[in-house]
Amino acid sequence: MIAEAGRFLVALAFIASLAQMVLAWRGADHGGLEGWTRAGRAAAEAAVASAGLAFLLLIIAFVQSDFTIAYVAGHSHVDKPLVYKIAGAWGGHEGSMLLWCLLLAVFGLGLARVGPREPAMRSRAVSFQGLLQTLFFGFLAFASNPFDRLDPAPVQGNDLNPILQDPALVMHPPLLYVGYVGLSAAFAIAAAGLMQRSGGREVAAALRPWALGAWTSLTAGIALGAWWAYYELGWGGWWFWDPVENASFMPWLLGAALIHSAIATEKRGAFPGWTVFLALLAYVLSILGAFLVRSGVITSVHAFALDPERGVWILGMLGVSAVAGFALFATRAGSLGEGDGFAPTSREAFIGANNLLLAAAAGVVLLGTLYPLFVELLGMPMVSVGPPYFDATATPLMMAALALLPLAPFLPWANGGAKPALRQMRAALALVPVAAAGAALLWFGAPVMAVIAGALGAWVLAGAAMDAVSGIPAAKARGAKLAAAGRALAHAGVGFIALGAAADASRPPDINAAMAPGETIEIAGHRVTLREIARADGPNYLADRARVSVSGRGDLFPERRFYWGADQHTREVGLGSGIEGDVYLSIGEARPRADGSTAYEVRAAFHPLIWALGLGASLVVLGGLLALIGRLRAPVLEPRRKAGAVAPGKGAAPEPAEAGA
Amino acid sequence: MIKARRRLWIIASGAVVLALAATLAGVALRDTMVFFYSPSMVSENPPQPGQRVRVGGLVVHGSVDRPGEGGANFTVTDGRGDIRIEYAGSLPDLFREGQGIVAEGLFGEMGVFTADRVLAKHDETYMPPEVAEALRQSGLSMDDEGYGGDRIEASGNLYRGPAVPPAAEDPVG
Amino acid sequence: MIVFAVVIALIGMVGALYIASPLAKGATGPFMRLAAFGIAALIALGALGAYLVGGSPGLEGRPYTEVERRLAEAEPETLTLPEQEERLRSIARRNPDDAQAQAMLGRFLSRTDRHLEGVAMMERSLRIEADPRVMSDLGQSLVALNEGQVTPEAERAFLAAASADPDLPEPAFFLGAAAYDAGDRETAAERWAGIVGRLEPGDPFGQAIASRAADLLSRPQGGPVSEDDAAPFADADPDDTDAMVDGMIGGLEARLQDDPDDLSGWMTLARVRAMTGEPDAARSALTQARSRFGADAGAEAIITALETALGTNEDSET
Repeated sequence: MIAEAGRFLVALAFIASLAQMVLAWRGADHGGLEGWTRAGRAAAEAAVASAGLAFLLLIIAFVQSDFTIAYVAGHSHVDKPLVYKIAGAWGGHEGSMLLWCLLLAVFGLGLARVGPREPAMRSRAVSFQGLLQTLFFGFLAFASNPFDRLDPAPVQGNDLNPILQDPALVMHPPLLYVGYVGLSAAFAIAAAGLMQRSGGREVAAALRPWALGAWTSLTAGIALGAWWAYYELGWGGWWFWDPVENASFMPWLLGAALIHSAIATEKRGAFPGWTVFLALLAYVLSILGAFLVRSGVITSVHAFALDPERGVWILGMLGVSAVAGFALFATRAGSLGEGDGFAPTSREAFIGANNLLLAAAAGVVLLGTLYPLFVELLGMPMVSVGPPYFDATATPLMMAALALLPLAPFLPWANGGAKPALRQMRAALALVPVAAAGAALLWFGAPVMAVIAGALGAWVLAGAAMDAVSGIPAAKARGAKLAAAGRALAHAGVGFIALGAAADASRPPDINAAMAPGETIEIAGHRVTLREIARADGPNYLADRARVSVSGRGDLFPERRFYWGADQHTREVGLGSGIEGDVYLSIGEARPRADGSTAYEVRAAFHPLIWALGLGASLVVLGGLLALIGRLRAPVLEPRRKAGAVAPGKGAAPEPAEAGA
Repeated sequence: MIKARRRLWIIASGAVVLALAATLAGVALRDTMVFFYSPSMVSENPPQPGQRVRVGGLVVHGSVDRPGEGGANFTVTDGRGDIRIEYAGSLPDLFREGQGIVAEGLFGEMGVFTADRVLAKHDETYMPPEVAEALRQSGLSMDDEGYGGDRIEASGNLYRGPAVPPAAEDPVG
Repeated sequence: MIVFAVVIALIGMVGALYIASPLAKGATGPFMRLAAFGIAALIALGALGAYLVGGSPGLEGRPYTEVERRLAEAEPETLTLPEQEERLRSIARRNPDDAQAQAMLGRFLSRTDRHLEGVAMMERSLRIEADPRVMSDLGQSLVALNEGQVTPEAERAFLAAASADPDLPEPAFFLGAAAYDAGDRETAAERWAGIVGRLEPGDPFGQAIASRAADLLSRPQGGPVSEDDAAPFADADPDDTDAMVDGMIGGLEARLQDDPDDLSGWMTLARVRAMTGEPDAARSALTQARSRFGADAGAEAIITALETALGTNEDSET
């Protein structure tokens, strides 16, 4: 009954989305004020209600362990702790797709309630969102239904993939999806703006808060994912340039570009076409990400199971969204306006340059991610493209963006003039060589790229600090102060990320050893002694827990677990954190030695300054949130900035940049 | 006039950045691309020793050897050829005998492959696309493989008792 | 089914009417009201249609508690293996302090080749109550887990079981096997003879242990003897070259001359003699063994087992 009611609700949400698309479209034709528009909104509400209820029913089915539902049987086990039973609702393909659809509908309703101010455009945006919802709910209902049944049903489920049974992974998909799906709202607004032939500034103003919110959430989701990869996968890294990671990184780069270009477009009318194009492209790349993750076309450590049928569906959705968006863009971009000019030393110019660099970085990541696929389609020998490619392409581009980042907040709009900015930046400029020398000294023998990235990180931090000192007091309105603080925080976060990435890239080599209790190895000056191995079983797993003494870090307890329901091993890493970095330990299989003793695989690593990554990501998220709150308090369309005005504090969002070194 | 000139430099600088990025990408792609070799491809036309490649196939039952000092050595097959792989790291948790894996590394002089990365999948029913393709070409499909039933072997290693690989017959060879 | 139909009909109609109601409210004429009604009907029917693609309205849900109840009420013999397992799991889960429940599950898991889990469950059971039978089963699971090797953990479990209940056959057998694997045939022979002697003469366990002991103890020493190799020793491979056999026999006889209190030695000699086609010499070796160890009922049974296997007993005078 629960399962079938859930299935019906999914079907209803699909139809309601269809109705939303049609009704809101007609509403927009009628100026966005009549019954059609209200009916479109009612449809959006119905879609949210049914999808939300369906999601709730799925969670209930998980809590009850109803294994007549194929998805529950595939992703749950009665011995699984309650929190992971609930999280199982979004732990696999079908359930996470339901979450994706629910969020699409929520954003549809959001657009209908607090979307673009102009009624016809709002109604149009709701309709475009309805189109996206219809595509995804159709996929959900007909090709990925989480309420598909099993008859006869198994007596016990297969359990959720144990590596997903982790607190960070409970929150990772929802945050990531709010990010991906939030970009759909920017897409819908951009498409609606083109359809309504609105001016570029209006479109940019309307989509900016959505893009900002989505990007902030995407940042948080990616950061949680990286953190999880760091401590749960036990591979001793946090970013692997894996296709699935790239799938989230491309929309992130474009989102970062978008939230900045939207500022320039809204405030100065600069490059309106580019902003709208970015808004369309960012969501299209989100769908591409879903394709890469869910179709299994690419060898990846994270991907869901291979399923060509799903891949075809997602490609279809990708095609429809891309064709709809870009055809509109091709035919109507002219109505956005040409954009005003600006001098090479203006803030627009720097934002534009950073946009170019970020977009180029997204482009090379896209190329590297899809290249193996193209090659295979062409029937050539199979190839793979790994971290060396991305380190050689995306990293330098992002570093260039980092180099420009701190200057932009000090530059005036339009006519430009770098002299005052350079004067203000003198302290930071002096700091750069010092920082570079310090970094080189600290990590003597570190890769050149890491030294440069470290220096850039210091440069960005210095710039952010100076921006905070001068920008926040200069802002007059409360919202503007918040926004200025957000910008400084987010930029500082980016600086910390660059520092952390640089430090981690120069870490000592990891040690893989087989150790018997009593044996000692040394990593980065820490003596690591395996003391003993004891049983530490949990509710749905068996575990061997090692007690490992690490000099300066006390005892660490890495575990190796066996989840019987899923028939799978996992590792729990032992982390000894300190100001200079983490000692990182994981234990693996036991193996007999010739002398009859038993040794255990131990992986030991030292990750210097790894906390800088976490701090940096938190600051970026916090900064994004402050900027969003500041933006929501500001007038819907801010008055155009006067040419030459220097107002570092006035409503700005974080600058682009990231270091993936 | 001024406007036109400004447009020009915007376009020019954009073009320069894009050209730069494209060159960078092209060069990097050429230098860092890693080719995939199935075991039968290796036996027909082996890659140069020292060239970075990926290999993959099904892990032969009973071929995994875990030396007391760490690391693991094993053999992968596609039914028509075998590759012996040496790996100094810790095998992924999803590594199983009989399952498809991909390894990245170099061939040495003696035809032994030294891997520095071994990829196994989160999803047990998953087969890396390269491996699936190689198996399809060599006529050894997934259906020939027994997937269930090697639970003991997988779990045997968790317990601290020494784990001797079971003498299961090799369905591949 | 009927309740379900009513529920989804209600949900569908409410949803459809909710969406269409702004149209009806804002309607300026009968046409618009009709259109609103039509749209509502379309939505409701559309949702029903989309549901029916792949829907199974007649299939009831089955929360785990229901499965549990059904399994608890069922006769275990009527259940499939996964169901039996689930039944035991559910009993063990609901009675975490019941040592027997944990042990039952542990035994089941071990029997179905999931020794690791089986071991964990038996350890859980032993923490509640140190039952020598469970202890012995734990030892056996450990042995099975390690491909027949009696590991130190398994040996500890068997020792504990044997000291709590010396009459248990399995711990004594495996302790003997452990000693045998370590090359200590004397202890092995003592353990095996001890348990065979303590068991009732006709006990099937006793007979099984005696014949296994007869096989193992009579194997020529030197070189690893696979404990897995349980093939009947009648099939044992006599492919050694004669010289080697002769040398071995000579060495063995000399050793037995010095130290005649070696049950395994006499048995080995008997076996080799039998295989080299000297049944009389074999018989005499057995007689020697009997004269020294025959007082021990267990050793006597093992010697008899060897005799039976070698096929020398029919001609034997004793």
